[in-house]
Amino acid sequence: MPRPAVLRLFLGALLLSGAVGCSRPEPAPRGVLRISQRNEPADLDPARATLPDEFFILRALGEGLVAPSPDGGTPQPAAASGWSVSTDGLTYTFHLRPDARWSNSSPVTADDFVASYERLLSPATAAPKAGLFFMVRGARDYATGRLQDFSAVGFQAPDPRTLVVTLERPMPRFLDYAASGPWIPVNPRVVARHGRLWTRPGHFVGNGPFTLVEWRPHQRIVVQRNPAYHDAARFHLAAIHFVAFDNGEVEERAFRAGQLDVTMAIPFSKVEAYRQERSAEAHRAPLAETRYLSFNTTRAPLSDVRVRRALSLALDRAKLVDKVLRGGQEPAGRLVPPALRDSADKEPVLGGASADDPAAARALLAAAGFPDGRGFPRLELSSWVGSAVCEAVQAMWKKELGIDVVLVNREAKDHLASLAAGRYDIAFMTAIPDVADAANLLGDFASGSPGNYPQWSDARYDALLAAAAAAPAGEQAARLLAAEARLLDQVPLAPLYFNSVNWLMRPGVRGWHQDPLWTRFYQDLSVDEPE
Amino acid sequence: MSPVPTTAAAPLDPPERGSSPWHDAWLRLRANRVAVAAGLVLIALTLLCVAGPWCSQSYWEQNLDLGATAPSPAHWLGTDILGRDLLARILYGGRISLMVGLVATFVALTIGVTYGAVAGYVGGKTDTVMMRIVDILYALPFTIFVILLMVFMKEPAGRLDTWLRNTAHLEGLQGFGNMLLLFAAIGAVEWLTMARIVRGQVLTLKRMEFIEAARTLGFGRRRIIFRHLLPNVLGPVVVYATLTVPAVMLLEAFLSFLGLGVQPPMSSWGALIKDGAEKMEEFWWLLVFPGGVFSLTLFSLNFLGDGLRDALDVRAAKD
Amino acid sequence: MLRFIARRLLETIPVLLIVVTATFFMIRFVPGGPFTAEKAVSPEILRNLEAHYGLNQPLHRQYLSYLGSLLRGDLGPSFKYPNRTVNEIIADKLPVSLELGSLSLAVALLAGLPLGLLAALRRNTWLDYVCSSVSMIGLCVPTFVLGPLLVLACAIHFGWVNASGWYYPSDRILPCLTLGCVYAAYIARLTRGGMLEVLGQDYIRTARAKGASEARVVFHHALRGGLLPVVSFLGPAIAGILTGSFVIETIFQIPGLGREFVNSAFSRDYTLILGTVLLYAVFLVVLNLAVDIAQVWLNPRLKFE
Repeated sequence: MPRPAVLRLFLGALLLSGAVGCSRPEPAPRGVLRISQRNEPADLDPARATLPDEFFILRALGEGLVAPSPDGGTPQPAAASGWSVSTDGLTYTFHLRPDARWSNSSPVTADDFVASYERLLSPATAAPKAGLFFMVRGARDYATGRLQDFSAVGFQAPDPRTLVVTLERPMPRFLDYAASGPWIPVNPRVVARHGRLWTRPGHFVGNGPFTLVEWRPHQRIVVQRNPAYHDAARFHLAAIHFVAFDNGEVEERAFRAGQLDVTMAIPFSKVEAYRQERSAEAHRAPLAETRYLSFNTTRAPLSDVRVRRALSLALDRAKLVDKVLRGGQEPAGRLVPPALRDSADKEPVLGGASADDPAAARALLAAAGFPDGRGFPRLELSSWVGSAVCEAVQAMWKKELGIDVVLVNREAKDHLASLAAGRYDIAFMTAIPDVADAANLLGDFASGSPGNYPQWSDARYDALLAAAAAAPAGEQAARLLAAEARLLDQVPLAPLYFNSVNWLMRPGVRGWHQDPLWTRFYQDLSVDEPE
Repeated sequence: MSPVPTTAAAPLDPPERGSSPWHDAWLRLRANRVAVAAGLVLIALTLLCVAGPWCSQSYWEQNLDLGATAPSPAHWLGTDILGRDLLARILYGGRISLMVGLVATFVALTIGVTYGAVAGYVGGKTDTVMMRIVDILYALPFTIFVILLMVFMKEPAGRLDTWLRNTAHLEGLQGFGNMLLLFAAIGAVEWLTMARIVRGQVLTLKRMEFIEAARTLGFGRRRIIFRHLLPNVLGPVVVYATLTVPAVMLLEAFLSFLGLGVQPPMSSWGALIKDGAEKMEEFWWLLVFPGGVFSLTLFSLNFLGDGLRDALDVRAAKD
Repeated sequence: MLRFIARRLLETIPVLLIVVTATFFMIRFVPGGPFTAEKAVSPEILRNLEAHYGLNQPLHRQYLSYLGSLLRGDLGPSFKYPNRTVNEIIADKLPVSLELGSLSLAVALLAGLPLGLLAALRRNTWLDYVCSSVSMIGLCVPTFVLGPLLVLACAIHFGWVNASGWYYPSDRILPCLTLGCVYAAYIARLTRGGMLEVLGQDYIRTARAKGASEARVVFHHALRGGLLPVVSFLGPAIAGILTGSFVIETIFQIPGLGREFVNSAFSRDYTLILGTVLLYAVFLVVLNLAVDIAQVWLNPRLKFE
């Protein structure tokens, strides 16, 4: 029979090619750190980027006026070596470093910053994160086309080393916004020369500690140390490889096969095994992310605050975290995660509807007309991930309140669109602030805000938020706390837990820092050679 | 009759005069020991899935303190991450998977065979148009189609379910609306290849002497297609149908991720295997048992299919 | 035959037009748009974004302008990856999928055909059961189980190859074996079934009666008719395998086109969806044409019609 002979030949050839090709790829060259990258960057343009994954790379390639501080405090100097604030808190004067250089070694000037921000705010650019500039005088009007003349916007460059930013009103957290990714400048001459192609290797020019040398979509992005960078002495890595992984299981297997030094996450079922058996590799940190259940307050019976409160009270958040999630998450007694709280704010629980109190929940449900859950309609609990959390919530409500909810999985964007349009009953959702500012998170639930998924409208809450924004810098935190308490008292949403991240890192990686807002810090980072 | 023996094991002797071809097929099938064994396994599995859940544990009741545990006397096949009995989940999931696999395959089979036979036999412009329609349906993006189906048909399906739930004697059928959508989605894609295969066979068969003979005898198109052509394409159809069943069962797992079909806490074999695949290194039983049952079903189905193919093969019977 | 091919190619124009039109309008009825994100975008920014991409135009005008650029061979800019055009993305990723697909297809054919033939020729013997069982492994063990198992064994336990990626020649081995296994199962089963159909036919008996050798009967007479179902199956299957496999490309982190088919739908990247669907449609039409030609070649009694 000729065919099996062919087969044998082929299998032999396959094994042979395997044997030849099996010379395992050489280990990473000296001083190279291989970090996993989960979402392929849409672009490496600060005006286009929206995801943490994109800003990981952007922060290696560029820096804004100020940068987040590794210890979570006030942002620290970056392209600006210092700044002063006017007494009314409206004018920030940034002094640029004299030694700040683009990677093509031309100096970074204040005009470059103004031109970058003009480009980002221009309606033609349509930057998705333009909202992070709207506290600057005239920025919103310019972005919406109501104001045509950018010189009327609060960015002025009186000389090449000085950038003056004028705000609409005092904002104590302004520097946190200025430290956010979209505030990283672009080189206007390079952008003008190459158009949409300016972010390609060979064209890219940035002002960061690294420069772009390779970008293979869905494979890897390679950045190399930029010797022209003003603080180059603190950056020890020769290069960073951002290796693309769409899937956590795949990523973990690559880590185990020695292809990666740092992963984005640990697959859910492997967290405990790693922490027990290979604890030197397993790391954990809190995130500024709140996972919550959004109640559609326009639909009966969820329009009744007693029902919402009962549903929230019947949940055992500690059990959810300890038994279902098992990843170091923290039960949420309120909406604002610890990383966003004022240092004086020590309240672990607000509003009183986040406790585990089934008896009170049953009483409230009975008062609302559903004793023992009788007559309660079958509501849908929708989610965009097949989440064990939702299954556990479903079981808790059935056990404690005697009500049945139907779990519905939706494709992610369908889920978000139905949340925005109010086409749902109860939804599992996540709140991630853009910057370390509680107002950024709480503002989403003001009446008419596009992120107000509960479709909730409460005049008192809106008034408290407005009062906080108008208050002097020193009083804003306390006013925001009052607003949050109001929100939690009315339960348009039930916070479940503050998320955390577990990741794997080879023990040879030294000086790794990341903060709860997904910022990674590359200074003082080094990697030992594998033995 | 050809004096050369075929390589196949000789089936039964030529049937008695007057017995129907279906009866002959049945007799031939019964003589095939592997096929009979496979059929018995399938029947046993189906019975277990239908009746088993009544005498086993709850498939949805969680025991968060227990978590995932290996097989033990209390839980024969272990428990999943939420502490639910895996045996019960496999049995319940089997109801869904078997139903989806068999019903959706049957739908695909019916549409595909009829469509392919008509296109192939009628030929000409009709064939051209019909096959170009198949090309178009192949090319349309399936994910988008499913999301649209969910968006526009969810309300009617939900109303059907509410009505079933509130109607006496029909409560057990709730969730049926969602299932209908699932069959629609799977049926919409799985018949296409079947139609192409059948058309290919029919194109060959229609030039054969016995069809020409039927035509000269003045039989109508319908009679020729359904009485003369179809019985002769059943062989490849049965084989392809047994291949469709696992594809459908796994497709169902993908669709439930899009919100179509089975929703938690209910599960299906496809969903259990998918879940188990992610956790196989830590909790092997979550993959091995659902995967084992799935494989057992497929093996039985394929060997039964082979037996069925042999039994339906009119020409082989002539040996 | 040339007239047949010319006519069929002419027929593809309405087919592609219908596919593009139907897809274009289908994706616009799907909830959520390219800019739907967890952190909701404010209405004024959304307006800017829609103007930037021309989504504020009436739908029929968007459709016509898309058709216009299509005629110039321009599939438009991607919504998800603003610095890339759909043409660039396809040019970048299609070669990867073609390589993965053709290697897997080779595995599938070289494993599937012999297994199927052997099973058919030794019907209902232990050899048949062994061959059938081996080929069924590809059916019973889904790719998302087989792939990780192979990685655990070959990459992590023995350290022969990389766990994932698409950098070195050795990175091709595991994905092609995994993907090839599935198709090998289909091919083996269909070959067995098709061969059994033919082996019982009169002309095979006649050939045998005339004393033709077994090899000649099988390869000269039976194989042609017996492969018909396989060939019908292969048309759409090859179109699918060459334009990429979502699961395999995810499991092995391969930068192919298969993931773009699925992910572009999830990210509502309208132009990329249309581009990939159109590409697939072209592959499909061409391969189905090839199948129809092959069917005539396999069965001389057929004519091009």
